[in-house]
Amino acid sequence: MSRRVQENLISLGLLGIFICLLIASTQYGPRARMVPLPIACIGIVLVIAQLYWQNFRQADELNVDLMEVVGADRKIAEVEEKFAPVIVEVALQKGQRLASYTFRQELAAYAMVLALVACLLVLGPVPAVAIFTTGYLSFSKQTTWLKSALIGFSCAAFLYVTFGYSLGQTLNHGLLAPFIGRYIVNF
Amino acid sequence: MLDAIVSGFLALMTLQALMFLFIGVAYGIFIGVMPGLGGVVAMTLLLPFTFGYEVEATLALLLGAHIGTLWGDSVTSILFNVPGAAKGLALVFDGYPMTLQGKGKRALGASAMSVLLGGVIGAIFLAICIPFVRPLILLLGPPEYLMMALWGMTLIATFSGGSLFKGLIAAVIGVFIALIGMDPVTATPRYTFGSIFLLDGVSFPVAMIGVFAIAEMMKLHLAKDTAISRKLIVDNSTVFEGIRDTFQNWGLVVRSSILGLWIGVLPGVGGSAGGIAAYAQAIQTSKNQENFGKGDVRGVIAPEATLGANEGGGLLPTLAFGIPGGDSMALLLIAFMNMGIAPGPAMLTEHLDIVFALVWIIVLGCILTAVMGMAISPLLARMPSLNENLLIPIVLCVCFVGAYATRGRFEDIIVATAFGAIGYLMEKYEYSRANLIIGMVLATVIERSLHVSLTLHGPGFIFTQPIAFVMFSLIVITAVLPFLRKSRNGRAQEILKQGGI
Repeated sequence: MSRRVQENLISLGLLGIFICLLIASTQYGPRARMVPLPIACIGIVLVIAQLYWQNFRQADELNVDLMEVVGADRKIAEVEEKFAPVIVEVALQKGQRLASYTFRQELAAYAMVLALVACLLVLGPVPAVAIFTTGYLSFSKQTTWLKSALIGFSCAAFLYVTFGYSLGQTLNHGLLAPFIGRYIVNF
Repeated sequence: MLDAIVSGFLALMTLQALMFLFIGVAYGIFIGVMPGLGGVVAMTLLLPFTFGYEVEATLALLLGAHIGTLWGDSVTSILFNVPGAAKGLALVFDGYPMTLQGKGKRALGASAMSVLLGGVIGAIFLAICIPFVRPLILLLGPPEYLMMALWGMTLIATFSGGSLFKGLIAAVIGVFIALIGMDPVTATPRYTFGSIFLLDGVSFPVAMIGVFAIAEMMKLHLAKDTAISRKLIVDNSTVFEGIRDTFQNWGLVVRSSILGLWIGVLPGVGGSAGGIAAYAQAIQTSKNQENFGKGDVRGVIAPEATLGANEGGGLLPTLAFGIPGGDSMALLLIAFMNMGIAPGPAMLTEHLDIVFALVWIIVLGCILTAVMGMAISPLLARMPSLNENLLIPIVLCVCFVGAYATRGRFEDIIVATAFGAIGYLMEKYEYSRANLIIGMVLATVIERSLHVSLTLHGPGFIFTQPIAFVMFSLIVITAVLPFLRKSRNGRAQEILKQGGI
């Protein structure tokens, strides 16, 4: 899917969201909708304008360089020209690669996050942190199994001491905790 | 005023506040040294830890961490030729050549001392401006605050780079996120869709954790960068040479700091633009310009002094008007809101001691950053590699446990996950995350000011209140500026074409 199609889909999605928010706003009383209603209308206008601009005027840039307004842009341009190879190299290292990742790669990144959420739900924070950290570092081959386990359990201990003990938070024990507790009691 | 200065200082002289400042600075330096994690991520991760402590201690932790990252970001620029954050780009031009010449410690020493001096100048500027700004603040009422909030969002959307429309759309989305929950005026549940959890609204710290920290970890995971490494070069310089260089170029430090104050006050400018502007200014105003780019220590001093002074400059509009100039200032505002402190008139009248506590935090934070930085520079100069990927699972775990700890509810983990996806998509499709959080922060000001303005002055308040009308005109001019500029450039090109050029 080309970049323009993706951008259009995002814009259309936002348009749908703003329209839904507008409809929802009409169901509130006059004072409750005093801010949401006009803001939703502004959002719809902005998205339509963005759709038009990105499809028919994409060569035109609408951002303004504040340095240009205060008259410093020429000096900055001279520096950027002098160090262009360095700046290009740094730009290639960072930030310009998001567009190049495939959907599958991004899905894998989401899956990693969801895996941690699932661990937190099922096992509770402390075991989940230890297992997820150990597993991630080992499977991504950042360190050896032993070092990964050491980092994982240290991280879990730190979080338990900080949140559970110092801040006095009651950490959720996870869905499996009652079953494990029952097993230990019976055992 | 003198009372506030003294009580602000004394409020920091507690064990808790000093300890938090130390922890914040050390943590900030560590996060800053890791490329890909910046001041915003550092502050975001600290938000769940800021509940239930003294106000000054909490601010010391947050601002100390942010100041620590100023120097920490420089380390990778100078030693590894990889900017830790966009603002560190200018340091690569001369900092890395100095490392290649065996002067890495000297560069790090000059960097640390420049941050210290620039930060102190920024703090002094902030302290001096407060007595002048206070009378101005008292002239402003709800209509003016409403217009100022709208102008702030428009300014940042226009000047912060990227599409104007996308910037404004991000701000509108931020406003809607803040509107979720019970309307404070009419107690009407808005956008809760029957959910009891959403009646309390979306927790701002949880949303920030998702948008910044979780999204950044997803980006790092996708990048799958190998550890950055370098060939170690024998370093015969010392940190003290760098300190001496900074004092020998005190004029450059002052000029760069003034530039940093100016950049800090202006919204939407920051990132690499500020550092490069400082570098350009250093070249223009220095002798032996041909040495720049070949390992000239002045190329390190100028950007660092600018970044240090930026803090004081950026705090002025944030504290006085409640208008954050960037994402880190917006996060500070979220911390204020969590502590029940509203920036604006109340800040400069009832909470003046907190304002001066912030001034002292900048001074002490910069001193601590410089001292710690100089102490560890010899060690860092011998570091052959950095592997930020080790932090990915650790930061993610801190994010989710922190999100859970804000209200003790698992639903906040789901919210953080959702905002992580939103933050990633915003980065990918170039919607400004800074505008999103500025919209969230300013939504309360906008709604409250609008209700009060309509009650006090009726529907035509924009036209009956002169200052509000002037600000409304500024909003229109700022929004129209990109189109005017485009039209002017188009006409200029037509004229050149007709002239055969």
